[in-house]
Formats: sequence, structure tokens, C-alpha cells
Amino acid sequence: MADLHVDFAGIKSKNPFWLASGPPTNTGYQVQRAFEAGWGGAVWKTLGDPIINVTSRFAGLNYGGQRVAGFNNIELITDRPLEVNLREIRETKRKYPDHVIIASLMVEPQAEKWHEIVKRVEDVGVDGLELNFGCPHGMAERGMGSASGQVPELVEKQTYWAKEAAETQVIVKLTPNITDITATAYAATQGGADAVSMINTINSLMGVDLDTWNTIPNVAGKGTHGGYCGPAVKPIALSMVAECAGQPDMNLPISGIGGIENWRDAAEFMLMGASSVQVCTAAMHHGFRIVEDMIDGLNNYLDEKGLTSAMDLVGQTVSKYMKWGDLDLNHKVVAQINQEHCIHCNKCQIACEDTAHQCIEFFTDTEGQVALKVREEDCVGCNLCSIVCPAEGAITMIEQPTSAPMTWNERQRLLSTFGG
Amino acid sequence: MSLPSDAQLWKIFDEVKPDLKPKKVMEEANRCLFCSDAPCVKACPTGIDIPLFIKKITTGNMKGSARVIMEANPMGATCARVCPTEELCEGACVLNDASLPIMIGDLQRHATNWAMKNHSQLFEVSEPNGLKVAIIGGGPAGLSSARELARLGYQVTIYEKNEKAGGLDTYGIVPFRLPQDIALWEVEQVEKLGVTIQTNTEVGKDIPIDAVLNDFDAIVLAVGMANVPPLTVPGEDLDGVYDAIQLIERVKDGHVRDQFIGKNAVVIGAGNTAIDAATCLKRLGASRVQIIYRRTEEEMSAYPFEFSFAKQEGIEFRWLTQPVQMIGDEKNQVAKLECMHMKLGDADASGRCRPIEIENSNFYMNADVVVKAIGQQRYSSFIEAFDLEHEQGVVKIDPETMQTSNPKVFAAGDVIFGNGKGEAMVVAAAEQGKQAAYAIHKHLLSKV
Amino acid sequence: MHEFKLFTEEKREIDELLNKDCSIVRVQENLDGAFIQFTQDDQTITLHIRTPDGRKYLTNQLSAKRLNRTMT
Repeated sequence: MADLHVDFAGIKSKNPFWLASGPPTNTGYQVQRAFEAGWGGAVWKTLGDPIINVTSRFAGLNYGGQRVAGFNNIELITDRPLEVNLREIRETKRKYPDHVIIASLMVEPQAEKWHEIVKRVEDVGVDGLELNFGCPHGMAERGMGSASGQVPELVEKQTYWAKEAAETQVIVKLTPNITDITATAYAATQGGADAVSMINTINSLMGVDLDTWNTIPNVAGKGTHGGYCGPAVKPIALSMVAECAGQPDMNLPISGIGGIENWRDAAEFMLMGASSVQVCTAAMHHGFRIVEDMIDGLNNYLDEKGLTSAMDLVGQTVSKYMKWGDLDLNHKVVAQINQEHCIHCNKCQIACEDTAHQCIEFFTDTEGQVALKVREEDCVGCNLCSIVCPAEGAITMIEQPTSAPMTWNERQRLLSTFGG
Repeated sequence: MSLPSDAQLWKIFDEVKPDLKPKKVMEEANRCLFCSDAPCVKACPTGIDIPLFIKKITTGNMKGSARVIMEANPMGATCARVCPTEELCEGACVLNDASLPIMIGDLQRHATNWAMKNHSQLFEVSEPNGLKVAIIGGGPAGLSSARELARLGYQVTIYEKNEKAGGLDTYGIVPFRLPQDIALWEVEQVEKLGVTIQTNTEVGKDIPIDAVLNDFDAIVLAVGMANVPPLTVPGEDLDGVYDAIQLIERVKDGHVRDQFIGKNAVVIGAGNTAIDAATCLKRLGASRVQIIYRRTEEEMSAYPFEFSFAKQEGIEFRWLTQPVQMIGDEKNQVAKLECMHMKLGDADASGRCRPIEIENSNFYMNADVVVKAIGQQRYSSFIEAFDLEHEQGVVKIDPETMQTSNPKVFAAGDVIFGNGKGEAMVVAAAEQGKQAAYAIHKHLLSKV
Repeated sequence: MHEFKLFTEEKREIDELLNKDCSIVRVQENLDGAFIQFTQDDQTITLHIRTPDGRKYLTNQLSAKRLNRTMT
């Protein structure tokens, strides 16, 4: 059994799995149920001036019969008075002293507002604060959430104000609704943040009802953009974590958020530099009990890899993530069709013929059966055929012997000496 | 048909149902809704957390998946193959009405296959607690008790009269439904926890009952049931007349090879064992196999899936038919079966309609092999030697404490299984074994 | 049209010139691909390389030659 404890910016957690700020962490009742189920920590639903919500609030994206490939919401921060939330946080922390409770905060960008809430929240014994600079809907129209999170100066300033009052760790939660997330991550660093978390939800409109022409979701026939999350956003989140983890002058711990629904996703985020992960949509889809397999699966995976601690995963892939110009141009793979596994759907052939490099062709084998083969000399190794192939093991990408590595950047340097 | 080679023999005994292919496994596992408070779990006698083991398949946590199954059911690999799933978990699946139920049995088989293939050590023992438990009978109930007791720190000894443990899983279910190595793997899992299994050891014969009673802190009686009872018709001792349990046992041990090729066989009875015996004879080359039963399809205790499998295998069913005598030839070999037609009367104590003979309806059936599969006898004299209260060989227990009339002796499995409710399931025996272990733990802890 | 054939032709041309001890004096890349200037005995020959594999091959040859030169 490996040790699943993680140290996130000095916050010790029994495992890397935290519930992200959102509907699952609205009340003490819920957070306590989550801790019973095994979650190592929870980021409390964002505290601030209590709001009024609309109904309905959520929509799911179903894809090919699978529900909730994506999810969006137009729910705002907590609608309960601060005092009520604080009482429940205090009670939960008393009952579960070994679990991490982080308070998510959102107030108007004024120093005194930040000072006030930080002091009141820390007074009940939270382990840290997460500044919500991310929600793209509703609160942004009031100058908070992603509206402040998209402006590096505001990120820096607000982080600074929170830090002025804070005694616990300050985590800045970043919005993905920005071209370059490292700009705001850097601003958080400048403001004195102890850690960053990413990503918050992405601007989205889930759909339009073709019968009523209403938006999905709709409020009395009208709609607005919401925050997108769930499995579909994982690659976006992962790349943003990778961008930040790879910044040499920014050494803040990262809490990974976005589409994580099992131990595999969690391990990927950790390999990419996250030392804790946060989950919301998967818990909303299946309940808190999903954490059992996250813990068990990660444990078995670490054992299999011969690792004794979950911390050993953190950042292992960061150095493998780089600029395109530093990738080897000479590396070559070609597709190979394994006849014994091919089920003859011809999807690879049509994909290659219509949309790639026309290098998969029909041939008649010795038994007179029509089959497919790759004309390897024309294959550029794009992976498309193996991506569309539905049969396990039918297409493998085979590495080819090639010349010594040469990256684009090296090539351009070389050519520049020839006046290129 | 000539004498089958070893390879051919095992070919005809290959599992009827192939393993699910990896792609199908993922499609099926991802189709599971991961219900909360799921009806499939409630329908499983051992309470396997089915949605959880399936979720673990989807995340690639195969060890975790196998562990969830085997934790709840130490016979999880066997049950994946022999459980009447449409009556249990799959029958309860919420997708029955919406689309098709999840293939829970097949997914369970996939996960346990992984554990078998990867020699995964799924469980660990606790610190020894210094207490000793004897288990009489190494079948599913006994093994299941042993596994749980070993995990709780008890020093466990199983006394098994056969050469191998596993009981009916090892000897009593035809190989094309349950290969012997599956049952033996489950035995090995129990042994790996430090349980001593003394095979070829019959309590009351090779070791005195008193010794067992005196040397252990508790005893689990899990002897199951005995052979098929006599029909009490003339000619039962002719050559060519077999006891279904013994026949399958010999088949599973590889002793039966060519003696049924081209034979005309009649199997008496329509329970699980009758189906097993009939389909087995067919696979061993019998040219015609008929099942005769004194009641009708309605009352038979074989499951619908067994019935349809038998029909696919070409087994013929003769309902409302009762054997009266077996007639031999000059070599004392059975040649004919005299039968009578029956009709159904009012329901009897078991709730099934009573068969009534129709006068002067006698007729003859040609048969050079007759297999008796009309249930199993009880180990009544053994139970009496143990001085335990019983009702026609069914040991009486307190259902709360699993204790027999001797508070030191607990019982589980077929030995406590009441009459007239079809045949006992492996999964029920496994659960009772677990419960007996917990009952012992509770009982002995209360004394400390 | 199989691009591999085009590349094979380009490779053959590059190899031929390099084997004749022509040296590459200038490489220019623009919207139409790469233009390689070879010289030998005051003679200048320009090759137009169109395929991506051809342009890759060219730089691999340049790199190998440079490596050779530094080693000798």
C-alpha cells in the first residue's frame, strides 16, 4: 500500500482528492458526507455576499448515449449568509480535524472587502483560502469572478489584499477564459499567492431546443452563458496546468481541476504537476462514493509502478511538455494494420482517403479476401486511422528508424547559416 | 466416434460460453449506470457491490474490481459462471425495462479471470488471535467460512473427505459450465491465507468426532449433501445405471472417456444436476439423451436458461413420466425402462402439484444408460453421530446465530438447506459460510 | 499522385549533386518551398524542393555534412 498523503503548499491532506467548490460543497451536511466517503478535502462553495439564484441552473451534454460528457451551470456563489456557512465550517472541521477545508471566496475588488472576509473565514479554522477569480457567468457581470480574473493587474492586486490579511495559505483559482493562463498565474505569483488552482469553468451555451427555440438551460424561456465543465474539458484543463507547471520562474503548487472523474485522470494531472486535484462534475453525476475507486485505483497503480508515495507522481511529465519547435522533426511512426484483429469496417481507409494522406489501400489476400494495408512510404504517422479504429489492437503505430534528431528550432538555426 | 484423445476430451468440455472480448467488456461496463442503492446488489445473496466492481473495470482498476467481488463472495469466480444471474443480479438490473440488463455475470467473470491470470494476492490475514476453528467439508460454504475466519485471525483447519477441496464446484458441476481449475483457484485463495486443508480426511472415520469437538474453539459443519437417493424400483443395481453426482464427479476428474459413445441414455429427474448429467452424456458421445420427469416443465427445478441450453444440446424431455422398473439383458446390463404416465393433482407440501399415476398407462423406453438425478440424500447418520438436532437430515440452526443444537457447532450450506425449494445455489452457500464465520467471531468474542 | 515518388526524385537529385562534390552555398525558403543553390567550379545549380520530406532530407544532409566537417 502506497502512501496517498500529499503536501499541497504546506497543507497536508490524507489523499490528493478534494471536492471542488460548487454545489457538492454547499453545506456542512454535504461536506461531512463527502469526508465519510473518503474525500481528503473540500473547497467550500464560494463565500461572499449571499446571492439569489434562478431556476433552472444546469444542463448536461450527452454524447452517443453517454450522459454528462460535458456539463454547464448558471448557478452563482453561495446563497446562504456567511455566518451560517462559517458555523457549519467550524462544526465540520471540529468533527473532521484530519480533513482539509478550504474556503472559496469572492468579493468585490476592494481591499477592505477582502480583509473582512479573510479574517472572518480564518477565524473558524479553515486550512486555506481559494480566491475565486473564475466563474464566467453572473458574478462576472458584477465585476467579480472571471471579470476580475481576466485582468492580470486585478488578480495581482486582489491576491495581495487577501494575503495582507491571511494567515493560512492563499490559493488563486484561475479562469480558463483567457488566451494565456500563465499571464494571470504569474500575476497571482506577483500578488504573493501560495498556490494556484485551475481551471474554473469555460464560457458555454449548452444548446438550443429545436422545438421551442429556447436556450438550454432556460429560465422562463430565456438563457445566458454558463460555465462549462465535466469530462469534455479535461484536455483544456490539463494543458493549462502543463503551461503553468512548465514556467521556470513560477514555482507555485498547482491544484488541478477540470473533468477529473477517476484515478486515471487524477494521476495524469499529478504527472503534469498538480499536487492535489479537485472534482465536482463527476461527484454530481455519481455521488461522493466515486472517491472509493479513486483511492483504491491510485493505490494499486502506485503499487504497480513500484512507487511508495503519491507525491512521487507529481510533475514527472512536466519536462516532457515543451514548445512545438523543440520536437524532433525526424521522429517517424507509421501505421500498421494487424489483419487478425481487423474487423473490416474500413473506417481507417475512408478517414485516410478523405481527410489524411491517402495511404491505406485495399488488397486481395491469398485467400481471396479483400483487406486493407498501409502504404508505409506515404504514411505521415498522423494517428488518425488508429484513432477512428474501433477494434482493439487492429492498428498500431510502429516507430521507424530515422536520422539523428533535429528540431524545427535546430533546423532554422542551421539554415540561417546558409542565408535561409 | 473413436476414443477421444486428451485434447479432444477437453475440447468438448471447453466452457460453453466464451469469455467476453475486451471491447465488449468496456462497452458493457460503461453501459452500467452505477446506480445508487442498486437493486442488483440487493438481489445478490452475497451482496457484491456490483456497480463498484463494474466502475473499477471502466477505470482499469482490475485488482480493485476482483477484490470487490471476492471480498463479498469467496466463490466469485465460480458464481460468475454458475449463478442463475437472470434470477438474481441481472434480473434486478434497472435496464431490463429500459434496454437490456448489464451482463453482470460475464463482467464478474472478466474481473476474476484477471485475478486468476495475474496471480493477484487479494487479501491479507490479521494477527493470529489464538483461537482454532475446524470446518467439516471443503465445499463453497466451508471455504467461505474458512476465508473469513482466516482474515479475522483464526487458525482454521478444513477436513475434506475428497482428494481435492471445492465440493460440488470441484466435482459436481459439469466442466463446460465450470472448469475444475476455477474451483481449485478459489481453494488456493483460501489456502494462501494460511488455512490448513486436510483432504482425504473424513471426520468420524479418519478422525474421531470427539477429537474435533474437543480440539477446537468452534466447528463449522458444512458437509453438504450426499449421493442421489435410491428410486426404490426393481433393477436399480443393473450395470449401466448411474448416480448423477458420482457420474459428474468421475467426468470432472477425467476418468470417463469413451463408454457413452453411441449410447441411448435416459436421465431421471429435471433439476440442475439432471441437466448437467444429460448435457454431459451428449457431449461424451451418447446418440440419444432423454430426460424423464414425473411432473411438467412448470414444476421442474432446473432454471429456464438450463432448460434452453439442454434443448439446444439436443436433449429430449418426457414430462409426466415415472420409472417403474429397469429391465436388464442376459449380461445384467440395463436395456429397458418401464415407465408410467402421470397426471397432476393438487399441490403438495412443497407447493408443487402432486403427480398421480395413470392406471394401465405403462410403456417401455429403450435405454442402455440410466442416470438417476432425483436430488441428494442427507448425511443423517453423521449428523446424529454429532448429536445435533435435525429434521430429516436438515440440521436445525438458530438463523440469528447460525448455531446448531450444540452451541459450539455452527452450520452452513446445503446441510441446513431445507427440502422442496429446488436445489441450493453456490452463492447461497458462500453467503452462509461468511455468516457462520461472523457468527463464530461474535460468539467467541463475547466470551473473551 | 503519391508524394513519396516526388520525394524520391528530389532526394535523388540532391544526392546526385552532393555526390559530385557540389557544395550548398545558399538555402532559401518561401511560399513555394526550398530553393537550394549548389556550386561547383563557378557553376551554380538551383534545386527546387517541394515536398516536406525533401526539405527535411535537405537539412539532415546539411547537418550530417557539418558534423563531418567538424570531425575531420
